[in-house]
Amino acid sequence: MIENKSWFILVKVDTGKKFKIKLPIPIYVCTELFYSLEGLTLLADLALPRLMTSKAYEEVFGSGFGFYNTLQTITDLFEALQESGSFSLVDIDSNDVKVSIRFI
Amino acid sequence: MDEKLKILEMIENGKITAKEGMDLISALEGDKSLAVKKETVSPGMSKKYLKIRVDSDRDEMKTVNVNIPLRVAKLATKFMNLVPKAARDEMAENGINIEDLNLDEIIDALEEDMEAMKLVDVKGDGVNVDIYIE
Repeated sequence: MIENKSWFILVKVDTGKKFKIKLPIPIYVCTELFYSLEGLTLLADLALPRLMTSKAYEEVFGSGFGFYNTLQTITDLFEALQESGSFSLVDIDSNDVKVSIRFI
Repeated sequence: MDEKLKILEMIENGKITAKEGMDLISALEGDKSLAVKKETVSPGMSKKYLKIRVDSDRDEMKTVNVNIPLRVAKLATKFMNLVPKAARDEMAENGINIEDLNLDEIIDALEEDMEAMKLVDVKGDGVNVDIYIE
């Protein structure tokens, strides 16, 4: 249901006088961006194991790693976050900085 | 309750037969049970969160609040593949095999339990850490 979805990730960082940012990021832009990277990740999965030695690949990425699968997982994560509706993901309050990440 | 009373009044006034009234009451009860079922079973309706609260007296960090929807926490199993081999090996040496962890089942069990549940409550030197499901 549309009313149960969140549409923006609102990132707020406030360091008092020095720096203040309030950045709404449309979630659809993120998911569409990840979808557009699918082709590149497939190419990376095809090319990198052939360009690197298996030992080097394992050291850098791990044996079970796949760019395409990782991208799918991140896309699933964003979709699940969006389906969760409005909520506050992180709130950090310290003397120097206040950080909040909200889904709205 | 009001709807049932109206149906009984309609039977009493002869507007519908007793059988038609019975059918209407059955349909009414069916709708209600369906609505309850949808509310409890549908994963989209689950509004439970894994909440992490850190309160500190220290200057550098006062509070940290993290809320993770349980349906999002379920995806953690997919991120297990991203744990580096060296870290996996080190954990295995200490008797922890992350491939054997069945997070899906744990989270399903937490999701089904309707009451709020405190998982971790640590009180230290000026720092309190609470992890709970709500």
